Amino acid sequence: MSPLHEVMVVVLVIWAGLFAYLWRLDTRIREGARQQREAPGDQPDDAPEAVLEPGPGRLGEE
Amino acid sequence: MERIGLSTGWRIVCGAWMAGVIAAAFIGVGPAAGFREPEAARILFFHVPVAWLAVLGFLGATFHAVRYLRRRNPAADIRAVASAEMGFLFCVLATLSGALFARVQWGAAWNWDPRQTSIVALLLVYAAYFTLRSAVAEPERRAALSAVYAIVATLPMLFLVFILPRVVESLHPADTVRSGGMSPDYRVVFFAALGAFTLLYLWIYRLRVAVGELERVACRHSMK
Repeated sequence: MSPLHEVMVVVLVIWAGLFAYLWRLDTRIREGARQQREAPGDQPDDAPEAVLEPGPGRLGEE
Repeated sequence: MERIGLSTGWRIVCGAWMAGVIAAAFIGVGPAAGFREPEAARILFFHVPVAWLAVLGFLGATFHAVRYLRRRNPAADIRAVASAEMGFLFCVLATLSGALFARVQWGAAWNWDPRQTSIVALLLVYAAYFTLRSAVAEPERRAALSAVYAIVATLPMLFLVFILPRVVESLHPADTVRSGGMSPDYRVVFFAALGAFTLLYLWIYRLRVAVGELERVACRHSMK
């Protein structure tokens, strides 16, 4: 094997390690997000909050 | 929360694409003429894409900083800091790979070439951005101040990347891609490398944004 091919193998091994790490990280972050979504009382930021307001002409009507 | 990372299919594409680029860089192209060490020319398949993506990261930080200041949406702040971090990471990679190439081509890893000097200045500009963020505790104030800084930092960034190295005499080759200074086989592998690194950038960026969103929700829960 020529030195060039040796360098290529080393770079491919580094890439394989980085790729496996990213894949694992991706899976763990998805799992964390799923657990957070399922946690009781969690509401996304953008969800409208329920507000109870008296309708016009109902309160104080005789 | 938006989609996290990349889908399984795109992850496999990213892995295979990058592996193909690495193999092509070593097997698919021959040594390049005009270099002191012709085999070392292959580093441009790594060095140039990471340098381009560093600029993309910094421009992304500016874009999301403007979005934050317009809407005051914390999601834009998370994207701004994620982009700045990506820009910084890729800028460090470009500096290191450039120093490696300089050692082979010019005889010394560091020559205070205009391009090398400007990239150090660029790293300092964005290091100050992270310092500013870590110095302000209140989230809204931190987001607003760092958004303003990111917008202001765009001008020196553009000057250091696109103007300074072109007006001062430099050892660094300029406009090799546009001027047709690459052989066709190098050009194919180069653009394939650019695509692979862009996909990798997108993957890491989306993971970083997802982590930011998780932290924000966890922080909100802890304050309740």
